Order: sequence, then C-alpha cells, then structure tokens
Amino acid sequence: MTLVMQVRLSRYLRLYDSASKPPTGPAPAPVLTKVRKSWGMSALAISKHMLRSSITNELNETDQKRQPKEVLSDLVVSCGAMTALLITRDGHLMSEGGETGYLDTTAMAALVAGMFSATREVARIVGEQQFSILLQQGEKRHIHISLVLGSAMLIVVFEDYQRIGLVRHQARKAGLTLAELLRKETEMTKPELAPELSMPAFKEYALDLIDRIFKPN
Amino acid sequence: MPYISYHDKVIAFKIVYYGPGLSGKTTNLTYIFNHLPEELRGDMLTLNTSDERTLFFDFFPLDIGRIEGYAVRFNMYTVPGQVYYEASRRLILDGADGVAFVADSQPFRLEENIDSFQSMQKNLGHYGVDWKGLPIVLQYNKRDCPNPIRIGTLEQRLDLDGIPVTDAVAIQGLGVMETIHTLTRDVIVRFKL
Ligand SMILES: Nc1nc2c(ncn2[C@@H]2O[C@H](COP(=O)(O)OP(=O)(O)OP(=O)(O)O)[C@@H](O)[C@H]2O)c(=O)[nH]1
Ligand SMILES: [Mg+2]
Repeated sequence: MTLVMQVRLSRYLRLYDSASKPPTGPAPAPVLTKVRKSWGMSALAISKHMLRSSITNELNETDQKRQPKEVLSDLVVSCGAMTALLITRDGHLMSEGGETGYLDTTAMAALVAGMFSATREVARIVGEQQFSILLQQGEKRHIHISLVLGSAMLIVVFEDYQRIGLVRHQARKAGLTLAELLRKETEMTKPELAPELSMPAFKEYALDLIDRIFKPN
Repeated sequence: MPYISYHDKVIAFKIVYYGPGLSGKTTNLTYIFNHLPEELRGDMLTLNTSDERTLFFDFFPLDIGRIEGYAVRFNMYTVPGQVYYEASRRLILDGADGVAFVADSQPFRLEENIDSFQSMQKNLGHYGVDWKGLPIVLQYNKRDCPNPIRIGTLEQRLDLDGIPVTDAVAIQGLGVMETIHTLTRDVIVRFKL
C-alpha cells in the first residue's frame, strides 16, 4: 500500500516540473556555532540537549512573533530546499514556503497526511508510538516529513541528497518554532481570533451557496 | 470539527463516503466531480488497486466560495470498501464532519451493509465520536437492481430512527446530488465554532 503511495507522490513531484530552479549556491553554515562556547565544554560534549537549549533560546528571542509562512520560507533558504509545506494531520494545507508552482499542494497535503497516518499505524504494529520522521528518497527529488506537535506535519522537498543532514537539522529547528506558533494559536480563544465571523449570517450564506451548487434545476 | 485557519481565513469540512465494497462510493464521488463547475474543484486523486477498486481513498477539494471573508471548502473522500482494508477506512474517517453512507440495494448485500455501518460506528467511536452527533445521510444505491431491498430495512435493523435517507442509481447520476446536498446542508446547520 505504502509503496503505491510513494510512487504516486514521486509522480506528483515530477509531473509539475517547471522552469523555476530551486535556490542554489552554498548552504549556510550549520547552526552549531551558536552554541555558547563559554560553557567550557568540549566540542564532543555539545550534546543534543545543548543544541536543543540553544534552539529554545533563539525561539524566545526572535521567532515568537513570526508567521508560519516566514518560518517555512526561511527553512527553505537555510537548507537549500525547494519547498516547505505545513499541513494538518488530516490533510489541510496550513502554510507554504519556497517554490510551489510545480506541485499540486492540495493533493500533496491529502496524500502525505494519508501516508503519514498509514505509517503511524504501521509503527503501532511494530510496537512504536509513531515514526517521527519519514524520508522518501527519489532519483532527483526527496521528501523529508516530520511531525509537529503530533497534530501537524512539516514537509520539505529538496534535490541535493548530500544535504540531508542539514535538511533534517533545519527541519527540526523550524518544527520547534512552528510548534510554538501553533500552540499559541490554539491557546487564543475563538471570538478573539474571528471577531467578524457571525454564525447566523455565515450559515445563511453557506446554505445558499450549497443550494445553488447541488440543487437540481 | 472542521479545520479553521483564522489567519488564512479558511474553513474546511471533511466529507467521507463510507459503505461496503462495490456499493458505489467512487461512482458517487466521480459523478459529483464531473458535474461541478471546474472553477469550484481541484484535481481528483484516486488510489486504486489494479482492478479499479479503491485501495486507500479518492479525494477532491470543493470550494463553495468565500463567506464573510472565509474561503469555505469541502474536502471529499471515499474509503475503500473491501473488508480487508479496515485499518485504512478508520484512518480516512478521522476528523470527518459528515458521512454519506452508500448502501448497496442488492438483496444479497444486506448483511454487508449492516456490517459496514457497524464498523463505521465502531471506527467513529475509536476517535471518541458518537455517530449520533454526526451528520450522516444513508443512501440506498443501485435502485436499478432486481428486487432492491426495501427502504427502511437498514434503519430498522440498525435502529437508525430519523436518519436522512436518499435513494440513488449512482451510475446514472440519480440521487447523487441530492445525497451530497442533504449532507452538506446538515453539516453547515450543525456547525459550531
Ligand atoms: N447497477 C448499478 N451499478 C452501479 C451503481 N453504482 C455503481 N455501480 C457499479 O458498481 C461497481 C462498483 O462501483 P464503485 O463506485 O467502484 O464502488 P466502491 O464503493 O467505490 O467500491 P470500493 O472502492 O471497492 O469500496 C462499478 O462497476 C459501478 O459501475 C448503480 O447505481 N447501479
Ligand atoms: Mg471506491
């Protein structure tokens, strides 16, 4: 089953080949340099948890006011990828960054969500909670998919497989920022977010549209 | 609960066509797809087995228009009906805002309809959803078959008092629009923020 999905997905990625090229040029330096040296640890001791704490520091300072779109655009630039998409677990496209003209993002979101949910079930079957990262390696293009908060997924499409380490690192970093942004959005109350949305009027218009679209004439 | 983005001003509902194998779910979806104005719909995806049975799902997005600044969309899915694909069915059902249950009216399919409806109830329960609170339309499809099961049979057997019912011959497009019309109306009427 998953095999078929992979084939289809890669077809989607190639089908919409456009003239536009992904950003090329040297990849920016890895973020490890931002770990404070003054802590007096050897390079070897710069462990995962330190990396994480340095990321959290950065988050607090700059990333909190940003929109998902900016985070995705920055992610694409920082790892030389083509495209980054943020989708919900049930297949809605939330935001996108980089080049998107060459792919059908709606279809992509629905497919990846299906793929990821299938993989989650597979994980359960082998006794894992879930696989947190999915990597699809193609001939020319590759897809890195990671979970954000368990309710969303971050998709990165890239071409240079040599950069997989960088993609993984930047995707994790962006994932933390996005998780924070999503968490904040869910914390806000609904009337606060949509003061203009009046239910009775909304429903009346929506029903009217539905009647026009589906009613036999 | 539909997907709502306050930032991008999008509200998206998930509609799922459920039912036993070969009952006509894909036929329903394809008919709707083919009879909508092109500007309202995105491409249709079908993930089939080699013999045209649904393997994972069919899907297309339907944009009904902009309301109060919000783009309103119905994401339309079918599940695979073959018994074998129960796990996939459950996944597709996750987050459904409305279900069109496509039953097969051929008399020898009666028990399969009942099993499938019960599996749907159980799968919704898996996500903590009480099916009684969910907009569901029961479509008796294949009314063109010899001796179709009597309308009311499934409601009686499954204790579905008051559920909206339609009858259809999906290959001819009969009852297809009526079903989705009834369902999407119900989804909107019951929509809460
Ligand atoms: N006679 C008749 N045949 C129908 C009708 N609707 C669908 N069919 C046929 O039934 C067969 C199965 O239809 P599908 O729409 O593929 O069924 P499905 O429910 O999607 O099947 P799965 O994907 O396996 O779950 C096809 O050959 C259709 O042409 C109908 O109203 N009357
Ligand atoms: Mg089908």
